[in-house]
Amino acid sequence: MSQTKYRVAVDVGGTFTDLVILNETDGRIQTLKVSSTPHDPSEAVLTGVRRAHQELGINLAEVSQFTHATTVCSNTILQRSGARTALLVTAGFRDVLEIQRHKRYRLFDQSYQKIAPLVPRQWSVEAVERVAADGQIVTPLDEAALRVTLQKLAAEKIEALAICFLFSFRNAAHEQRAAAIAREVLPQCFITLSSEIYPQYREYERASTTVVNAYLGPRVSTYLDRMNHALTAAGVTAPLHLMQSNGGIISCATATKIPCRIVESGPAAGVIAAAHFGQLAGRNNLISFDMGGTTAKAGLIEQGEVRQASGQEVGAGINISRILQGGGYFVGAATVDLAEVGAGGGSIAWLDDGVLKVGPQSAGAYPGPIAYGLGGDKVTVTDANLLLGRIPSAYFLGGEMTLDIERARATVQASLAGPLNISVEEACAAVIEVASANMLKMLRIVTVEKGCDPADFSLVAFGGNGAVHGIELAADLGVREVIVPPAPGLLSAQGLLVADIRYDFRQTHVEGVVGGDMDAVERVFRSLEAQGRDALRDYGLAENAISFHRSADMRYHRQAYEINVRLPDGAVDNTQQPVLAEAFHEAHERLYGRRDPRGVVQFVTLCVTATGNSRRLAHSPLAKTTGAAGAAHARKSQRKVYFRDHGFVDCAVYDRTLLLAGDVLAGPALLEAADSTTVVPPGWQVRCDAVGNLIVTHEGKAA
Amino acid sequence: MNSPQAKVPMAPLVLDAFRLEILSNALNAITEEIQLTLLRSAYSQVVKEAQDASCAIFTAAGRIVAQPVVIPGHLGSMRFMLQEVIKEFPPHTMRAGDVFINNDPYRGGSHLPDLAVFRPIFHGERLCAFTGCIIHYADVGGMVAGSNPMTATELYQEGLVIPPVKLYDAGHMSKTLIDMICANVRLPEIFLGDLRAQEGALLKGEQRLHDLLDRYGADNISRAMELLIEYAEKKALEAVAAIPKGVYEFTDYMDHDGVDLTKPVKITVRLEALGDRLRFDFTGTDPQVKGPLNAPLSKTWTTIFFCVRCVLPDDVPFNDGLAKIIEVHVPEGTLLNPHHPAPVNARSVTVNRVADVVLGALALAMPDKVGAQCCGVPVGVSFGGINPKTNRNFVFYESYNGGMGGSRHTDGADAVSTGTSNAMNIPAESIEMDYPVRVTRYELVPDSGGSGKHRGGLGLLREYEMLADSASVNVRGDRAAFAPRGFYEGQDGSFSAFYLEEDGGNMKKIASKFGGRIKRGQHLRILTPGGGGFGSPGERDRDALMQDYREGKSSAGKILKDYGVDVTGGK
Repeated sequence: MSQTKYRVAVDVGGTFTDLVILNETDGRIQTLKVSSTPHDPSEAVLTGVRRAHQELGINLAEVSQFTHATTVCSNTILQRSGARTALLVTAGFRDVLEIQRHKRYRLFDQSYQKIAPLVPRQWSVEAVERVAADGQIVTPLDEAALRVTLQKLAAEKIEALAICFLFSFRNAAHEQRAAAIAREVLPQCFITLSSEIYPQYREYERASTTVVNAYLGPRVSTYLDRMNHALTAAGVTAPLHLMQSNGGIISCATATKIPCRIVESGPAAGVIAAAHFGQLAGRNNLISFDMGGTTAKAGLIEQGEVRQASGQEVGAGINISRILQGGGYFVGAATVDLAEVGAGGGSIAWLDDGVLKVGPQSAGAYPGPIAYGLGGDKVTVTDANLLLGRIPSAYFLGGEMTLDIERARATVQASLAGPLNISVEEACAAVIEVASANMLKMLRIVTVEKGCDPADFSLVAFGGNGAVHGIELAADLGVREVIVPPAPGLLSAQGLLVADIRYDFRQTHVEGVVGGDMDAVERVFRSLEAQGRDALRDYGLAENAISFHRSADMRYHRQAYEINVRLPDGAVDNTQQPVLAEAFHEAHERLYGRRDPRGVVQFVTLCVTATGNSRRLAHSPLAKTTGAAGAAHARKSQRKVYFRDHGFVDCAVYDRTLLLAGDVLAGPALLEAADSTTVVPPGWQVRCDAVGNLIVTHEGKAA
Repeated sequence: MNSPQAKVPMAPLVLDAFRLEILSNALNAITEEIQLTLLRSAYSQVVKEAQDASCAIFTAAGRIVAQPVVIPGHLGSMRFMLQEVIKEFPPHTMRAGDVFINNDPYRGGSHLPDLAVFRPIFHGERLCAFTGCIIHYADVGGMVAGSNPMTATELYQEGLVIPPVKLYDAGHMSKTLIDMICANVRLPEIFLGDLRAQEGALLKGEQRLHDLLDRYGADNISRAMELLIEYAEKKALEAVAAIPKGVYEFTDYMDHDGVDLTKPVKITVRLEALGDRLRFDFTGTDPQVKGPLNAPLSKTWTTIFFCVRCVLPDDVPFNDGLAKIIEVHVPEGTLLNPHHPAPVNARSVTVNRVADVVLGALALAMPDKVGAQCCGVPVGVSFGGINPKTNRNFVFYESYNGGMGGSRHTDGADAVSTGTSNAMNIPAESIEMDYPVRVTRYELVPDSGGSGKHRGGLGLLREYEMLADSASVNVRGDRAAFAPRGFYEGQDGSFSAFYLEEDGGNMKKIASKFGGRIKRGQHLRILTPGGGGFGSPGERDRDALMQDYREGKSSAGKILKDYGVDVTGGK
């Protein structure tokens, strides 16, 4: 048997598939980028794996862990290419997916259309049964009628079945019995029960989650099976793991059962990596800022914990407004809480009757920015950065592309500078300022609007463009320190190397805190923890590597929106009622600016997170600098670069890959590497730490 | 050395195109934050699940500069309610920490449950702006639970009238006022919870506006607000110039006024497109009615504001600038401009019919922009009584619509909030956990959309079972006698229908406006109208007909009759 010494992580994106390989014996990290193959993403993964073997000399039999982030779920939904899915509901509610929440998301649109349900109406069928709000059975399940209904579905060649009965989160007996019958009548069918996937109240949200899971199930199974076989054939014997939307990893077998939990696996991995590198720099309060080609995303890490949302909408595009959400398909799965805005390197700048706008349309990777010369003819954020000298024209993507700056300049003149009667440089600066304003709004959503003062946080800038804009945004936001991790353009893949195994369990259990039955609450928590222990058993983890965290969605009685409140990990009993209520009062005050001391505090949904700590990542340290002032050994050139409030100034250019631990240099400076450039404005100072993080602080303030 | 924090010189700020865009985004972000705080921290079902709440930022003169677009029906009301506050309390008498409230339908309001709260925003000594928000309260007293008596004949029966008054004086709450209110509403703790949510949300807005004022200075922010309104005026003027000049008239009816069930109520509008403005004249509309269908003047204005925005290009900002192109004439003493103290609680039915006639007239001018008629009524249902589980009062209220009309581009959406409404539905599971009410059916109504090249959206069916011994039931509906009309040879949508179970089990048809009792085990069934069809049925795509049939949205019989197509293949 071969020795195991590599951890491999693969992040499949729309344009590139990134591989990051950790050598566990010396902590060295190697990276590879290959073009993605959207028709079958596993092709690019295999190409990458083969190249790792051939070019980097990786012995594939020595791979101990293979972790994967995939867009297969979001693509399946966007392309409506999921399974032929049926929905079984309580009699009287077959139109739950058609009616949705009855709201229109574009108010002035006289041709408004709802997003089409993933289940066509003829496959949305009813079972005669009824459970009351307290779990009592009002109408028993009519099994004979159900068999007839399911036999009709069998004739339709249904591949997946979602079962969602009213109040099944209180009493799942009918759902379970219906599933047993369905397994007899539809033996090949992928079946999801709402009481298992999302035992929470609100029937539309629960049905939608159940349907999305069923719809994805057969496709994700096929995809993962194919990937597994191909990896085995290539000589990888390590088990395949998947990143979930919540930032934790799960086995391939689990992902096959609950695919709705891996929809956001790539973005989640990025935030996990941001938390990891932030912690290596000694920081627990972090804002993750991920700016790629099409969008920018922001998340928050408080006291080392990544902030989560309990649900998301998929399939309706980007929408930064949280009031009129996109009207997509609701998925009730813990998801790294990200705000997103259509501002990336490829975002297009345009004039709307004299008002400059940037995005949300993006030129993407193809045709891309004008300067790429691939046919792009609209000014993008990347073109503006190039013309202002902020990103290199010769070193782009390691020199793989020659950039056509003059063409970009001419287009800026014709489409923006001319009409606005300003110079090309002023137009470019304006493009960046507008894009920055959009991103600033996003960054405020995850901080200020959630009651967090940005001054208490460091910003981790990554993605291909994160470090180009991150430091200026930090200044606007009032953040004093920016961390640019090593290889920021491949950070998501690095997140796959460091994530823990993680399972979330939730159960609606409405109970008053003061005067309520805490023993009943404790019983629910225990049963959720038992489920967690079962789930983690298969990973062969030592007992002390498993931990449980309890939280609860709580509210004042009569409120409908709950706040997730972290609870003490130990058992709860009636003596703790005041402490538990106070935890909620505090959270409410922080979020909404006030508390209601006379309000009746309630538990609504109890939550347990079961975590299996994976092995820690030991990075190989950079060589220490000899202390040469200004990191002269890494300095390669100088050029004029535009900075807001300063105009064009002489700016030193460094090769980031030559920086050593302890190197210190001052802005204005550009730090270039193949995957990304770091733009350091005047007044900011950079220190390179032992793992290669750039710690960027404002002068005069302690790092 | 420049500090990285202070980017922008305080004055004079060049308010060029991109900086205006930035400030516009910042103001919109503040209104969104106010709105979210409101929705998340409110107590009543109507707000928390149905999201019947709105907010806005106003200039110091009370003009709307930013508002998240949530409930169209609230959009203009707040503007008039704030104007009345400013009339009562001249700005030079206002101080930081003042908070004003108003729900008076004859002082800018719309009906008593819609209570608005305003907060003047000062920078130093200078009044720079107002923030305001409005919530539909579950109950504000009056003769029935939910404050929506269909039998009301004067305002005083509908609940507590709160004229523009000070709730806080320089940060000090008026306990007298609060105690007076709480003694006059059915669910004081829910009332107070919602009021606190409004106060908290406005406080958030004030903090954010202060950040902005600190950074840019009061002069710059005030100027930017004016420029944003001027920009909207300019865009609106350009857009109105593109509307073909002419006179367009449209008339429609409501079933009755809820008191005299035999006489329809007429609403008519004459639209003059004048090139630089749109003039809406409602002369010919019926006189005010005895029952609560009267709509205060601000509601007609608000509704027109919404309808006009629907036909303008997407890039016309939605602020006070839009008022530049709108002129409204409503004769006094009519349904849409009643004399005090005519009752008004059911005005949302009327308002939706106003939207129908205004959009109908606009459709004549711009057929590409407007679809066939929508459902046209937010059917309101309320129950009140004693909850057997708690032995306490309960007040349940919800409202919902039906199908949208087909348009030149698409079929109408099925079962959706239409017109000036935009409430979410309340989950059946939420209702059943909180009230002695069971939802027994919640479905689309097949065949209810008007046939056409683009068919109308389907109406919905909602059926309840009462679990309390006996409760009051109020239904506020319409369109049981006048169906949503199809346009351009499209056929009409279905009528609404209302049924209440009698002793013995028979489902008896009731009037579209109804007040009565319901006993334990009895059912109430509501069918809302489908939308009208657009274009000739003969032009409908065959695949679309097959899909309607397959999905059970249209029956084979209806398709054969209206479209002349046999989708069964002779079966």
